[in-house]
Amino acid sequence: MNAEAKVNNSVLKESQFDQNIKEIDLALAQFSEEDARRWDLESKIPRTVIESLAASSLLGVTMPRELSGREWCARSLGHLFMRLGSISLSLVSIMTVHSMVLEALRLWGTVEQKKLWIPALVSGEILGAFGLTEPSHGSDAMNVQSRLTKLESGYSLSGHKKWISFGSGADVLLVFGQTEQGETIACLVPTAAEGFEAKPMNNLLGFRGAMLGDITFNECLVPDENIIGTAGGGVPYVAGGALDLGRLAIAYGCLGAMEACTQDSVIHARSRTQFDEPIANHQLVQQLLSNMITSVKIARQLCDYAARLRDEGSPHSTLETTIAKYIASTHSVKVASDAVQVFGAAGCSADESRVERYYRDTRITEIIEGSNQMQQMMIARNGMSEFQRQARAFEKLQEAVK
Amino acid sequence: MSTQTYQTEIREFLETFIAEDDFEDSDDIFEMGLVSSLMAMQLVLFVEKRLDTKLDGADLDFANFRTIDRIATLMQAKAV
Repeated sequence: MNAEAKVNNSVLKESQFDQNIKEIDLALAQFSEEDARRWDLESKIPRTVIESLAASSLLGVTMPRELSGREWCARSLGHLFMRLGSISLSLVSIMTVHSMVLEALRLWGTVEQKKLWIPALVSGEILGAFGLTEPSHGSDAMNVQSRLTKLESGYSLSGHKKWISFGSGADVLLVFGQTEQGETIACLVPTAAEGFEAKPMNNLLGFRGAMLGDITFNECLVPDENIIGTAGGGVPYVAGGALDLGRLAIAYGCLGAMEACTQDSVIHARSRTQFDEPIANHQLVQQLLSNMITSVKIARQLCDYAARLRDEGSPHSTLETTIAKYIASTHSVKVASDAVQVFGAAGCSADESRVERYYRDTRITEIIEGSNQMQQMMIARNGMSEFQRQARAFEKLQEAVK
Repeated sequence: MSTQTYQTEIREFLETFIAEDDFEDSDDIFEMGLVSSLMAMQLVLFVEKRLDTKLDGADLDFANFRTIDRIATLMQAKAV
């Protein structure tokens, strides 16, 4: 591509991005804070909510056009999750796991599997969830205990999954188990399958509307055509690829949550008067607001950078996405906490403010899609060499100019 | 492209992430603990970007990505 064509292509992409943003904002304007509060209180997001997002063509926006997708760039996907995050992190959670099932199929499904599942997931006819975590195995995903026993034409799945977002609402789960040979396998299990049982998990700190499920598989029959990828590739590649997208979605969701908390805090601080002046004029309140504003801007830069690398197909995108998720989630907890502080007593009441809910919900983002401690370990192990090499290169340069 | 060229390119890529220079093309980088689990997908993206092609489910044998030699062999096969 010559320089002029590159510029035209870039202008076209930017114009498409602007159009996508307008479309997302318009479609999501239908949801109010009243809706989000009700989902939290009732511990449920009605299926009609997801169906309305599907009707706005907002499920599977990055999927190929020939499979009913829209081939949106990662930054557009990010904006969608950011806006969802400024409404409800429970909604972010449901949309994330659904998108992760789609992503696993896009990356590793056979032609037949893609044709069978992706259009149905994009249209919202089928809703998906991601079944990796178990009561005894979370971060140590390679050692999941759910067992897949080979049968003549498929597998028998037995095991127990816990803390599965949307596990009590989805129609199909992407489940990860282990064969007798110790290989991890990913498979699609319809929730209507015989031997499948999902119990809703209530009384949670946050993500109450995300309909978490405690799930049991009792000799569920999984046909060969429902196996995604190959034996041994289940966790490293199928889960790995899906989690890569999930981390980006959660990072942007946290950004949306931070924006919502900051907007509310600024409005409140400018309207609430104490000692005959708005509290926004008090320097210690300004300190809280300045930290919130800075956090939003840091997270936005990291998220957009990770999304850009993802669009370029760069192998460095996975590390940068991990960094974006780690920082966005960590800062979102602090921002929500500061927002509660700005609101004072009103920040402690769901009837008075939404920052109370964000305070609970953001805390969950430090645990999901890989705990932040796991993110930090991956960042350290993948990121250290870059700096060691920089130092060595500079030393060599210094020696050369001596 | 020769397998040797691929081996050199893979090593250059891995050395961005691995502090240790002292590993052989036949060494299992995962078993040696030189990389984290994140590297599995990073290597997939590296191969896809370098060859401008998509890997599919059938390529998902973890063994294909454990050593520089095996990755180079996979690249050679996919490039044809």
